[in-house]
Amino acid sequence: MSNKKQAEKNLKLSVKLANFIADNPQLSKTVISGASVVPFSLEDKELNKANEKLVEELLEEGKRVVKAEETKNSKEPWKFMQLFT
Amino acid sequence: MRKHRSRKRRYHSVRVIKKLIKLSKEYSSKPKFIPVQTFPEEIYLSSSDKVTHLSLVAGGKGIVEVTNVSYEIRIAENWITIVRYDSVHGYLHRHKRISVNDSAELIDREGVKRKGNPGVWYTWSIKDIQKRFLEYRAEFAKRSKLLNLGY
Repeated sequence: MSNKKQAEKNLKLSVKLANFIADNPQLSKTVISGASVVPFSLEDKELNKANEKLVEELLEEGKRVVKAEETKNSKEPWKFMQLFT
Repeated sequence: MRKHRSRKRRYHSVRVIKKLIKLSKEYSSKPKFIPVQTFPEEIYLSSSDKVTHLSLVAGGKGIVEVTNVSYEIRIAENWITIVRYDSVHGYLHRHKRISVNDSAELIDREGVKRKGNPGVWYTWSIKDIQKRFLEYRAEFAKRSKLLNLGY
């Protein structure tokens, strides 16, 4: 997947994710505080594969990474997983 | 016959005073929401671009200020913000960096959401980046005299 296509798809996810984070400001103090967030789609496996590579690259750079996975649960539409080296 | 001159009241009636006291008590008993700055969040779009957002949130009121919503690209190991939005002055506006070598910004409100509240502006800013990020990249590449920015 090209960077351009990956960015386009991730932007669609990041609109939903950013709104969720804004509605839940406690997340920015706890789970994702100071971390680099990479969104993962519920359905798009090709995107998720490309984002896994992105996560590896960020971890190699020494970044604190948080995976934000889309869920089917309307009350908790995002699940966060911290991946720190 | 003498004409009665109308006299301006220099005092408030007891009824009005009681009403004002009641309102001030109601106001002071309501919880006041102190705005809190969120931590800057970076959402990576690829290995060479990301969106960063930061806002001021006040309890039950939600977002009260869009402090920063920016689209950044990586050029030679450096992250550069090529377009960003904020409503620090009370209205939403856009900043565009001039070029790689010139960090000054062009500020404009052309096509920027004017009506609504900071919560609406926040969502609009991110959606605007989603729709127009290729256009912003192309403009920035042209001003910087670069052929492409990594795509």
